[in-house]
Amino acid sequence: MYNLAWAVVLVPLGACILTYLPESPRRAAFLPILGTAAALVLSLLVLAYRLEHNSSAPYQSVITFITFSPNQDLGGGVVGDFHPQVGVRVDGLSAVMMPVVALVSLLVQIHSLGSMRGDGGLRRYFALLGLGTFAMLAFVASPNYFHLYVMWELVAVVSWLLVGHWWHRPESLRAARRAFVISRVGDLALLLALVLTFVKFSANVALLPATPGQDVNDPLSFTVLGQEWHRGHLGAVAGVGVRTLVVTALLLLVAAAFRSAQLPIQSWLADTTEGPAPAAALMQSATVATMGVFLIARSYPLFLEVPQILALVAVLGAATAVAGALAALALVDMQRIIAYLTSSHLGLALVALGMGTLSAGVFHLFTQAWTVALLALAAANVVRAYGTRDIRQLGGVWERMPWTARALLVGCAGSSGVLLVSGFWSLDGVVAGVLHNRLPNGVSAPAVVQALILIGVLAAMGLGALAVIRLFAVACLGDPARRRGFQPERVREAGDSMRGPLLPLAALTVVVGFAGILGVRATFGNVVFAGSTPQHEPFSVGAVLLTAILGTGAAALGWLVWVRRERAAVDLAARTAAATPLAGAGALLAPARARVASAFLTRVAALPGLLEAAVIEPTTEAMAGAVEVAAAGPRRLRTGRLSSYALTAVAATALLALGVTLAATGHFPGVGASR
Amino acid sequence: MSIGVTHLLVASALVFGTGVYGVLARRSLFGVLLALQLMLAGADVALVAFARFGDAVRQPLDGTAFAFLAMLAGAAEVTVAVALVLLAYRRHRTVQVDELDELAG
Repeated sequence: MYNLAWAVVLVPLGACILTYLPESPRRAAFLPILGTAAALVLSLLVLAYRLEHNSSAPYQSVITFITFSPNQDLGGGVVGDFHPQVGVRVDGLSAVMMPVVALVSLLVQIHSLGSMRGDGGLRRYFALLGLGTFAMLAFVASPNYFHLYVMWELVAVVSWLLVGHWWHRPESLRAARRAFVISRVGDLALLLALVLTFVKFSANVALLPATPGQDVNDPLSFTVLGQEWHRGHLGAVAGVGVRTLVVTALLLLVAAAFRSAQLPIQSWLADTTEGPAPAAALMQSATVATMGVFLIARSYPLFLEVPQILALVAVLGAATAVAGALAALALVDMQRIIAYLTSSHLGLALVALGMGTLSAGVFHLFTQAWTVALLALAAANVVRAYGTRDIRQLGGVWERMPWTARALLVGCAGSSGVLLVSGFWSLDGVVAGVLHNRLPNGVSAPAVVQALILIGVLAAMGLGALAVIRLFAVACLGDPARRRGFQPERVREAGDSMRGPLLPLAALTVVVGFAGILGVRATFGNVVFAGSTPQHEPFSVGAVLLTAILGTGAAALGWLVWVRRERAAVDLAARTAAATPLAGAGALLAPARARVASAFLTRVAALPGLLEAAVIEPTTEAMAGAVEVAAAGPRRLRTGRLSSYALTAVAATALLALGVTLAATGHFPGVGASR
Repeated sequence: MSIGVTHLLVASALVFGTGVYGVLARRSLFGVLLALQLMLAGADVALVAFARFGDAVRQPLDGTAFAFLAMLAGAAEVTVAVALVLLAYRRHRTVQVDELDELAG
């Protein structure tokens, strides 16, 4: 049953390759859709089977595609232990994430059928969506860091291509390039972490008794490393100390922060909106952006050994959550608002991970996947119909596009944590984790850190709720601004294929939270993460109350300010904004950061310029000059006359013949005269 | 004095040398081609000489067969070369090698 996971991963790949067969691009688009649908069904089967057998050890099936002979000396000494393996691993984490990826991808592809209709690069677009789905599924199901790294890069490449899909638009190209370059830095950190792990652990792992069912021990396998990290922490692995673990965890954190758009590098996620909107929805909700959080969840045994880095994860997440919510509150670009909200929610998931509640973090990732996809797709419909992304120019969506607007409302509720909708259930898990503040191994973060994080989380939740209500109220209610060439009467509800995917997403947003009701026996964490590492999920009435009051209260305040335009509430909001220039700071954040970064990069980029002027250019000039001088003589030989060339050839042949003759008759010592 | 391999080789060298001189000295492309054929013929003479005076038991016909092959190649070469010369003439209105110095670039 578990080996269906292979099919889950490989079917989308096959479908993606076949995309280039059919004549009509529109028919080709159905291939990745079918492939993804098949992957979804299979992954649900795998999930069901896993839930039934959730106490068994993780299933793992790998293929070693290169084995260096142990006797072969490859110079480095450690290379002989390198057994690059690809495969699948089914445990709670991957079994839950695979259907999420497959379903969101499927709905995004169906949406794209409508919203990308008539696009010149339709075939390429769908092939890329299929490839991205494959890469993300393989990433989620990866059994070791080698496989994980390959898929990590593949997803980055696909994202780059998708953001730059409209290659004739300069802003798309710029956004794609920026996202790609930024992502390289995080990739480097991940690669360094891998190399460090391999160098430190490979020799030791090679001595371990072989894992049953495997011919070699893979030093990068999650199963092996889960134990090795612990032994390394205890000092039982030669050459490994706490410092190694701290450095590895830091590198992984850097990689995760880059990929999940955490604090200093958030803007690239908003840049993905320069590409096709459904692709951006996929990237924000289920692929690129979630990878960082997934990486930390996957490396959780390592982070548990180094609680100080785990606290850093939580602090970073809280700071990002606040900054993202502020930016969402200040921006006017509908799709960018949603991107910053995503970044904020990913920060909250990191907070949960950092406070030791793995299942709450993953659950937040799980609920927000539907919510973010719903928001982004609904926003895509609105933007498509109105032809602008500026929410101040939108309006009247509620009457003109009833389906989309209602879906957007559900998404806003799910994102803000209004009572009983999905975000509420996962957000109170986050808050409960912060209040509980205790890792599974009994370590707690200092009270000051805990207080800071709690303030950050609550602020982020309140601001985020305000931001989504503002988004909804400003965009959907009221009247659209008058613009040249825009007739509000002609705005129509989006077509079936663009409206359809909103329905299951909205239903999931409403329903899915109930999987996480705290206190109920079969909560998400207990079901999914039971087994070798049972996850204790803290429950606190305080957290539920805080979340309920904050989420619902902030939403209600937002309603009064932007919908009812209550004088008192507007004044209160204005006074708050005046007293704390925070909202302004959020808006200023992105351009200021861009200025700093560009000033810095300009300085750095000037260094190679200096180097070139001082060293490289004189050197090449001198070389060219030398060649010029040396060529002056031989140039005269180049007459172009056939007879002179023939003479040269004859003379050379004669010389050669002379040489051969002399050699054959033994006139050169050591050459010829073999007899 | 009977004719030995040395005599034949000297004759071959003479014919070959005449060819080389012709290739270097003639100014007309057709002359150059004729001289080239002389070079080939000289080499053929050497081949046949070796076939006649070489190891007649183990390799009775190798040199002769090779000489025929070389003649055939020579004939083929002439057809191609004449075609090239005709093209060069059409393009430059001359077959004098000294005037065809495009190879200088």
